[in-house]
Amino acid sequence: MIVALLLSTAFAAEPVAAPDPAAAQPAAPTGPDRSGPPAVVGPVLRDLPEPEVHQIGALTVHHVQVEGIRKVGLVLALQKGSVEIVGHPTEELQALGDLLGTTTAALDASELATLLDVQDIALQTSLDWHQGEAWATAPRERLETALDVLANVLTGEKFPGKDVKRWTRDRTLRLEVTGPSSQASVASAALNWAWLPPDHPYGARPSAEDAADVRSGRLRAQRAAWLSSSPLDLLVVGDVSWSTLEPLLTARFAELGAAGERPHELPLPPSAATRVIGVNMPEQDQVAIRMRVPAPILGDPDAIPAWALNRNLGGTFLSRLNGNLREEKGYTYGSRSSYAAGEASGSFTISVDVPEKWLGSTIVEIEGELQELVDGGVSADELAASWRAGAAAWNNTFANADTSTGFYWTVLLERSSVALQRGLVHSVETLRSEDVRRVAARCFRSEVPRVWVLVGDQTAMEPQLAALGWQVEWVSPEAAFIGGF
Amino acid sequence: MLWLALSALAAHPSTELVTHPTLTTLPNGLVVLLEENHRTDTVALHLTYGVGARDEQPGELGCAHLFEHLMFEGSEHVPTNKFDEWLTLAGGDNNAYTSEDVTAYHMTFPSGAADLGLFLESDRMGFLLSGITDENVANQRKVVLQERAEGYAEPNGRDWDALTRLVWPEDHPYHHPVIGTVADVEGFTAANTAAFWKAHYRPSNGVLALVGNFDSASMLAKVQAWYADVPEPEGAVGRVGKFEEGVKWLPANGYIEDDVEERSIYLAWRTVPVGHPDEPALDLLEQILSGGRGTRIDDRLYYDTTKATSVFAYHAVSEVGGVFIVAASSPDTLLDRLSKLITQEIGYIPQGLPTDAELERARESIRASWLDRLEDPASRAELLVECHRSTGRPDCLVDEWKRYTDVTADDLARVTKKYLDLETTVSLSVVPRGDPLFLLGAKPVELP
Repeated sequence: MIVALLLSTAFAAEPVAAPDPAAAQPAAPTGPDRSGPPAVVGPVLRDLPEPEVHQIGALTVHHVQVEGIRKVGLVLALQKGSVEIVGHPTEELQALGDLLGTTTAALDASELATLLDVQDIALQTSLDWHQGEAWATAPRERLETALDVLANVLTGEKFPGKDVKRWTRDRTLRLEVTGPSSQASVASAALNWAWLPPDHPYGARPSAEDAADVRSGRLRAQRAAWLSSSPLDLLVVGDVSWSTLEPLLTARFAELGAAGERPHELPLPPSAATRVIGVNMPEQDQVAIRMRVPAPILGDPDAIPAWALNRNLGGTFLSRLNGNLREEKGYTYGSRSSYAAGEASGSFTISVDVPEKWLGSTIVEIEGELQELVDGGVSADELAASWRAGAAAWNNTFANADTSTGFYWTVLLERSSVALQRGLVHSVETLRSEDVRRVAARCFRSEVPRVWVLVGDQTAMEPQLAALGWQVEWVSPEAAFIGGF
Repeated sequence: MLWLALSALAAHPSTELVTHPTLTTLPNGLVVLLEENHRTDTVALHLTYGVGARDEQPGELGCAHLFEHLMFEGSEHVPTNKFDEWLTLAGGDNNAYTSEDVTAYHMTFPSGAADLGLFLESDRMGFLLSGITDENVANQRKVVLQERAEGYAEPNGRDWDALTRLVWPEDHPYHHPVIGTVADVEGFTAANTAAFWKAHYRPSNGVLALVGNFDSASMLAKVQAWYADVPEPEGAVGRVGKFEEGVKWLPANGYIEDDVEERSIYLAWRTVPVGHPDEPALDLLEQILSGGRGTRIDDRLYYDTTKATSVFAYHAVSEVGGVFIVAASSPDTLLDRLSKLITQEIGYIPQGLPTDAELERARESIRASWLDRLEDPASRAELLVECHRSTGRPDCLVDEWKRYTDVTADDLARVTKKYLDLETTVSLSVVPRGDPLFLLGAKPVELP
C-alpha cells in the first residue's frame, strides 16, 4: 500500500517560499485505503554508547559524547546525603540543598543570576537522603563558564543572611499556610508521611520551628564539611570530547571531594495492615484520592513486568483506570498510576480526583480494576503497546540535552549500564500476560495492605466510607501536610 | 574567570536560530511544513487549526475546547476508542490544547508508524462527524465540567478566568473562558455542535508540521496521499475578532473570594497582538520587571524585602490583543500597598531607563527559550507552526530576533507610558473567603 501511495503522488517539496497553490494542482484526488490502521514497521532499538569512566582526583567522571546536541548536561553528585550527614533529613540540610547555587565567593546573588541568564545556563541543586546534586545545562560554547559555576557554588556559597531569612519565611509559610490549603499538596504529603514511618530515617517530619533556627554560619560549615568528605561523581553528556573536557575538569575539580563509595538505600518496613487516612477539608466539592502499595525493587525479576503492569493500569491516557473512570464513567478529568523502584523499596501509587459524590464508586472501580489484573493479567495488545512504548522512549533518548542527561543519570543512579538497560527494554518484547498477572497478584491482591489517603469534606466522605466498612483516621490538613499523625 | 564570562557579551553562533523546513500547500489548502531530524527515531507531528474560544457565539461557549476532546473519540474510519488504542499500540503518544485563538493537536510516533499517524490525523480532519455520537458528547461534557471543577478546586485556580472577564469587555471575543460556561457545556449535543466543527475544521484552516527521522520527499508523499481525500468545503472560514489600534480601554476593579490563605493582586493592561511592532519591547519589559533575581519588581517585592511571597510579570500576546500582567501575593501585606509598589516600579522605567545590561539579560532569556524549543522535535514542530501562523514564514526566528535586538531603552519607556497607563489599569483582588481586604471599590466577579 505504501508503494502505491508513493506512486500516486506528484507534488514536490520546495524551499520556504510564499505558497503558490496554482503550482500544485493534483492530477486527480485518489483516496487512501482507510479500511483499517496501516501497518507499523519496527521498532528497532538504536545503539546508544556506554559512558566512558575517568578518574580525576576523587572525582569520577562519566562522559558521553552526543553529536549535534546544542547544550551539554552536567550533573555533579555529592555521594553523601542527609542520612549519612546526620542520620535523617533536617530543616538545616533542606536549606543547604535549596540555597546552594545562590551565590559564589566572587558573585552575589544578583550577579550570579544575571550571569546564568546571559550565558543561558540552567542550575538546580538539591540534597536528598543519600546524595546531593547540582544539575547544570549550558550551550557547548559556554561549558567552561558552567563548570566554573558548578565548582564555585560548591566551594564558595555564602548563604547570605537575607536569603536564609527569606528561605525560613517561605518554608514556614509553605509548611503552615499554603501547603495545607491545597488539596493536591495535602494528598501528596499525607501519602508520603503515611508511607514513611516517623521512626525511620526517611520519615523525619518537617518542622517550622527548626526552620526558624537555620543560620548562615552553620550552613557554610555544613557545606564545607559535606564537600570535603563526599565522594564525587560528575556526569557529562553533550557534544564535547574527552580531550576538551579533561583539562577543564582537572583545573576545577582535582582537589575536591573524598575517596569512598556511594551509600546504599535503606529498606522500608512493610505495612502490617491497610491504613486509611481521611483529611477533612470542609466545603470542598472534590475528593483527592491516593493509594499506595509496595512494589518490586530494582533488580527484582518482577521489576519489568511491574513496569508493564503500571503502564496498563494507569501509566498512560489509554490505561485501564483512565479508560474506566474518565472515558467510560466520566467521574474524573484524569486518573493515573506510577511505579517507583529503588534499591531497597518500591511502590505503586494511584491518583485520581473526583466529585465527592463519586468517592465510594471510584474506590470500588479502582479495586475492581486491580482485581481484574490479578485474575487475568493484561492482553496481548497491551503487552505489544508496552514494548513499543519502551522502544520509542529508548529511541528518543537523544531528543535534547535534558532527555540525554536524564537517561544516563538513571543508568548511573541504578548502578546499571546501557547494555543492561537495553536488555531490560528488550525483555518487554517477550513478556507474557502471566508475568504481569503474577506481579499483579503479588502487589494488588486484596489481602495486600494498602495506604489510602482521601482529602475532602469529611461530612460528605464519611457515609460513603462507612458503606465500604472502612475505619478511617481523620486528621486536619495542617497535620496531614507535615505528617503529624 | 567568572567575571570575564560575565563581562563578555554573549556571542552567538550565527546559525542557531536558522531552521530549514520545506513548505508545501496541498490542493485542499492544508499547509505542510517538514523538517528532518535524525538524532532520534521519532516523528513529531503538530497540527494547529485556526479556531479557538474567540470563534464561539452565545450558546456555544466552550465548543472549541469540547472538540479538542471529541477529536479523540473516533471518526468515520476510526471506531470509538481506537484513535488512542491504535496509536498507543504503535508506541505513539498524543495530546492537544485549546486557546482563545487556536486548537492544536500534537503526536509523537516512531518513524515506522508514520502512515498510522497520518491516517488517524487526516481521518479526523476529514471525517470526524460520522464518528461522533450523543454518547461521546455526553461523556466528554462530564469530563470537561470535571476538568473545570478540578482546576477551580485548587487555590488560585479561578484567577485567570476572573481576570479575563475584567480585562476584556463583554462584547470582546476573549471575554469568556476557554473552557466555556457550565450552562453552555451542559447543553451540547452531537447535533448542535456539528455546525461549529464544519465551519472551522478544514484543511485550509490548518498548518501541519512534521519534524523527525524521515526523508522529506517520502514523508511529503505520505502526507499528500493521506490528505488527498480530505475535502475543502466551499466558502471561507470566518473568524471573530480583530485588533484595533487606539481603542481607549476603561479601567476595571474586581475581586473574588477563594479557598486561599494569601491575598493576591493582579494588575493588568491591554497591549498589542502577536506580530505588532511593540510586541518585542513589551516582552522585554516583562523580563526587566520580573525576570528573576536582580530584576526590578522581583527584587523590590521578594528578594530585597518581605513584601510579597511570590511575584510575576507576564506579557500574554494573542491574535486579537495582548495583556500585560503583574501579580503578587502575600499573607500580610495589604493589596493596596502591593499595588502601589508595583506601579511605582513601572513608573520608574521611563525615569530611570533600563541599562544595556538589563536589556541584554532580557533578550538572552527570550532567545534561550526559543533555542530550547528548537532543540526538541516536538516543540520545534510547534514553533514552526507558530512562526508560519504569525508571519507567513515557518523560518521566522532570525527575523524575529532582529525585532528584539532593535529595541532600545527609549522604546521601553515609550511602551510603558503608552500601554501601562494607570488610567486604564485592571485590578483583580483574590482574597480568602470572608476577608474584606480587597482593593477599595472592587466589585465581585462572577464566573459563569
